[in-house]
Amino acid sequence: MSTTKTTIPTFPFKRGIGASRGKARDRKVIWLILPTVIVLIALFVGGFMFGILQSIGYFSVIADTEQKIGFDAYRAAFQNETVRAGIILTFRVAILSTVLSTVIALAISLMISRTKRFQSTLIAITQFNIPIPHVVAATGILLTFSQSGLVSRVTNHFGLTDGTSDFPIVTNDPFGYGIILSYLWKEIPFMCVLILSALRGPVTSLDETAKTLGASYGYRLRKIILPYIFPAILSGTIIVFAFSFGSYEVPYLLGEPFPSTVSVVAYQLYSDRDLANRPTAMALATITSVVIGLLVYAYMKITQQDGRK
Amino acid sequence: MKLIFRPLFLGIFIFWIFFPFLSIIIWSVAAGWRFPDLLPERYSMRGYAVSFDPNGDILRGVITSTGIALTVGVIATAIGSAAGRAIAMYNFKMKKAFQFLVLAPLIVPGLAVTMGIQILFIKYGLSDTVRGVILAHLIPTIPYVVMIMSGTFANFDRAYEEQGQVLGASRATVLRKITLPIVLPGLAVSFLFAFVISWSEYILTLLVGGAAVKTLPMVLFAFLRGSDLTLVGAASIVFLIPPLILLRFTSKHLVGRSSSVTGLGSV
Repeated sequence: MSTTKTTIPTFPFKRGIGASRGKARDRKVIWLILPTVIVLIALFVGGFMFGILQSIGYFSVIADTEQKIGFDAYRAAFQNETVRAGIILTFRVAILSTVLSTVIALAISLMISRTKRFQSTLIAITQFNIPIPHVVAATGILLTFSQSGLVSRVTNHFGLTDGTSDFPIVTNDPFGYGIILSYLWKEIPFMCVLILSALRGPVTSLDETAKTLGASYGYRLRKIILPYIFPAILSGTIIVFAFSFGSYEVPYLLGEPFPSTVSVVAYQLYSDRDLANRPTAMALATITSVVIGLLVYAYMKITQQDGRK
Repeated sequence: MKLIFRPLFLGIFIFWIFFPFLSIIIWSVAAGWRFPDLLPERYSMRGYAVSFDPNGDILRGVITSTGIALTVGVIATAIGSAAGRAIAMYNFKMKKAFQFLVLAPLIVPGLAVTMGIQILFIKYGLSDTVRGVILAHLIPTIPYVVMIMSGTFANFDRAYEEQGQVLGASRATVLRKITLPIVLPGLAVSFLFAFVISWSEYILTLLVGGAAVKTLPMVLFAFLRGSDLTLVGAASIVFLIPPLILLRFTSKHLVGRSSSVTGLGSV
């Protein structure tokens, strides 16, 4: 997973302290990682495995039917009309949210890093909505961009639109504008924090040196700054994509009942009164996880190759 | 042209960040807000009166959420920091596999995992309990802590600890007097992330806690299904104040010379 090797700060000339350190280290590492391993294997790997088992028919919650092991649930998931419509919407929302938040955050971060006055204020503003819960973000977008929201009131006041029905439907809309707006509102600042902290690293002195030697900003951007902050952008895009692909709250609040994103459909199937839909829900959840995993893997392979050139 | 462009763009950005807050704030103090009106005709504190009603859902939600998020924050930070140290400072067998395990929950949707584990939680009596919700919240929080802390420990100089040991300090003293103070900024940011993720979590709480564990997101969702937007606004404000207070105390470590978020940039 790791694209950057973590360098271990060792000081060879101090090796004398504790001769048996080599072995002691390995034993100690177990105690450092054991709690995390236990929690993640039990809860995360366990949950994932049990989801797969339930999707192929194990642990059926319907007691009186015979257990049937097989891939029926996967077939059912792909044949489901709601799922099919949801897949397109999910990809659209995830891709647009990721691309737009990355591009905008990069532009904003670079602008902030070149601004001398108010720089710390601007950085504080980018951080401001990082801790805001997604539910509140979705609420804010709803109250602002719905047909009777604040923007609609303003455009109506200035005569740009005429009444609620004249304002474009951008929340609870079939395209997913509302969902994308909500993700952008949260993820642009998240990406900004990642990029800005990378920009404040050792790259500043490199950049200063190049500047002194007469390199133009465009040249420094291409040759020094962008290559340096590339890993941060890469991690950010992966986190944002995976999140916007699989998250539930925002598409539930800002989407439509049909089509809705795959996560919303999966939960609907799971909580359906008809328990026969549960394996389908599990199948859908498994497919979603595998698809995200494969896409992230492919993306990392491609970007790593680019990085080596 | 170039001179105007940057302030204009940044201005739009600032506007864009604060506009949704503005809608929420106005609604929270509005006594009704009919459509064409730019501002409500009358204001009222009804939303906040309901929010701080000792027997109301919101205040009880605040208490439940605070308890859960604090516990998750402490456990995730403790467990994840150790793992972060291991990744940054040691080489060990299966390190790649371990890093993969830690990062996978960032990729795989929490919904998928929790739906799968639900059946076990029911079997072991963790369903519909606060304990179960806390356990479920560890899944999305630990990876963030590990990443932030591995970034922090990557800049950590072991020599400080060795000095302490050479001078005769016990392991506990070295940890308390040397290690912890040095990595404190990282711990603070880790706690911020873990607290906020747990505080905001809706779907995992719904799956595990059902109707029994009513955290603040559950209450807000219930309000959003209704039509009382004044209550929605007030509950949203109550909902976002604790995370903002936490941010106030940790923001200087978020983007700084010795930033703690750089660990997030090394997936």
